[in-house]
Amino acid sequence: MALVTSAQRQRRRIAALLTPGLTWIALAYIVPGALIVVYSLLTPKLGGGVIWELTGDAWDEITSKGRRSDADWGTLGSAAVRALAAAAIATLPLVAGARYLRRSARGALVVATALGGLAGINHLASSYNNYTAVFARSVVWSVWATAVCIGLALPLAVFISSRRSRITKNALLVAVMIPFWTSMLVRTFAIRFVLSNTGPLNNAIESLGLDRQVFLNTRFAVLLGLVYTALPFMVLPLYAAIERSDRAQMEAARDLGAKPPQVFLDVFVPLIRPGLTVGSVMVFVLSVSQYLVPTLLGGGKTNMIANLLDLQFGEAFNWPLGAAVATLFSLITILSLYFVVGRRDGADLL
Amino acid sequence: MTHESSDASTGERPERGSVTLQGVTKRFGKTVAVDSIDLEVKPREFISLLGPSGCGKTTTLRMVSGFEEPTSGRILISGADTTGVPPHKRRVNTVFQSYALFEHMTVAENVAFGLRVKGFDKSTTATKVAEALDLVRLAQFAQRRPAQLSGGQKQRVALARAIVNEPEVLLLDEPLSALDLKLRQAMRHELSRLHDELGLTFIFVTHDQQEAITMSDRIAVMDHGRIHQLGTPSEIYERPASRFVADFIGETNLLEVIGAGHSGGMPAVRMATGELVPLAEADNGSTVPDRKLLLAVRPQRVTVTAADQPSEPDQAAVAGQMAELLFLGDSTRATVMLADGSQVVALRYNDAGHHPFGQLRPGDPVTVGWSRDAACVIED
Repeated sequence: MALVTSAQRQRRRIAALLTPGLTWIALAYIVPGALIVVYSLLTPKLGGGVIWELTGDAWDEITSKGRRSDADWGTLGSAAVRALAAAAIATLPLVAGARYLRRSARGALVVATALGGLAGINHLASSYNNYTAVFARSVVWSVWATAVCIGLALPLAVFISSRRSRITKNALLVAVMIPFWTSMLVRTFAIRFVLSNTGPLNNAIESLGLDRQVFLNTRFAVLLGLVYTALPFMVLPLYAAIERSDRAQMEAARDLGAKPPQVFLDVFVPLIRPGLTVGSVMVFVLSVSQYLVPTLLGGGKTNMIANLLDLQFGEAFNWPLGAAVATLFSLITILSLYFVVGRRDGADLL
Repeated sequence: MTHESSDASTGERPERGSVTLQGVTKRFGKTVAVDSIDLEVKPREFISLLGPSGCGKTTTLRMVSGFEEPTSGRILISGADTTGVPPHKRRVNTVFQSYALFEHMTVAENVAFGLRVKGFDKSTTATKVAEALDLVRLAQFAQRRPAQLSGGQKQRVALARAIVNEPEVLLLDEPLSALDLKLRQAMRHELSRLHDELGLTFIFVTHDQQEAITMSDRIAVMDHGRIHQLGTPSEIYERPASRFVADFIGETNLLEVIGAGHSGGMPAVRMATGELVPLAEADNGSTVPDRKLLLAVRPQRVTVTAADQPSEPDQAAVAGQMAELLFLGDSTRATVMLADGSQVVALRYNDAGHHPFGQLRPGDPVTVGWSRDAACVIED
């Protein structure tokens, strides 16, 4: 009897501890989330809000072919060509480095297929309707931002991790995180100033005797902003993964005759794989929902999903359409998270 | 104090599997990890670098494998100078202390790694991997991952992964230190068997004197970056060349004595308590110079008899008082206090129901003795 009571008490205590968190999740995520799905099926009210009449108009709008769309069999064909071309370009270094890549061939093939597929889908989506075009743009740029972040963060994390003194390591890590301590709005305006036609960058270019360039309101500016904002989210998990990795395994690989590129691909990358996954997911999710960067650095010309949402809820007063976009966006994010993280690395995360 | 073997510089063509260290020094900043070491490892020899942690043995090993470059001096492997040769180009392989198995690969993939990166074709690799796994008796574990293996099995995978590459020299960095006692003893036999079957040069780093003594052809006892003594296990055990070696290898009675020339045609020393103790005839003559020395006697060779019993001729006989008798299960340990306050320890195996030190009890006056070939003198 005593056992049963103690088990019951235990259960009651767990329930008491979980209640605030679960209530919060319900109020902050589940209820609004469900509301968004419901709104996407209602009739827009002029001036904002919804009329409680069921309709599929919003979903029709974002899923049907656009009025000015040139999507047809030709588009499908050229999308396929682009996909193949992108895959081939991604495969080239693989063939060139075949000596080193025998083991990594499968991984590289996956990357090539993914990039090719992305290029093809992007082409299709861009020419289908305005909404799919914005989705595709957001995804593609976020993929690019993720790739650039990996390229920049990996050497940085290796460098920080290879410092001998604990103090130096911490100082460098803090330096990586310092931008977080300033308001994101202020930071983005600062970049705007640096990139502007009369800003320091263009002044430097002119002092070299070259013509001033337009940086602001270009794709370059948006990509730069995305990378700048998300970089620490790649550096920190990579650093943690490198710190935790068993360096003796890399020595063992060299001892067994592996050349430095083989050590990198066959041992180092698998060792830091959990960090790569976490960093990539964080950078991608942060970038794909970016609002400030495309608004302030892209000049509102190159919209991403958040700009589309702002437009529908804020200016066009078509709440159901905005809700449909938001629902689709959440679905894509959750599904991609599930496929990337949920399967294998989920367990080793952090 | 380095006792070099004599075939170091006879001008013969060095054989495959030899390792030569010539004046090798390694400094890390101001610390001298390895201090001008000379060592000649013969082909197919099982040599141990034995010493306490921080004595420079692992650094020495890492210089042979190429993970550290000597600050000065040079290392020859199979007669070829290795200066500037990176680890992956050296024909040596290492069994690491922490095993360092690739966690994301199966046992078979781990063993195949060295062959794969060197470009062996698939069928050759598969054959060699199977052979190597057979050799370490792990064939049925080929598809497991390292996380699914016990410590001893991981150790054998690490061995297979190294020897499958047919190195000229196998380096073992404290490979048994992470195993429990029983497994360690089993692995000692396993290593000796592999050494016999493979005919490779083994350089074995350990801080465990028992391991070194049971497996090695020769032992280099190291401390503070130097080799204190190089010799066969029995030479090291019976004739320690320094106080450090005598102390480090097993238990030894170290007694302060003074050289006393000779007594009755035999070299002799005088104990601090005044007794004259005869020694076995040394290689370099039959007198001991008149200066302070240390006399080393193993406890197993010390006899303790009642003071009123006559001692045997030719034996050391020193008066003392029984201080302590300690029953150790398989043996009994007697501590005898000499007149000058120094202690002599004697160790005897227990015969069933038979006290190894007879009727002697603590407090009894006794005579400790040892035959003259049981003792050796050490320069202090």
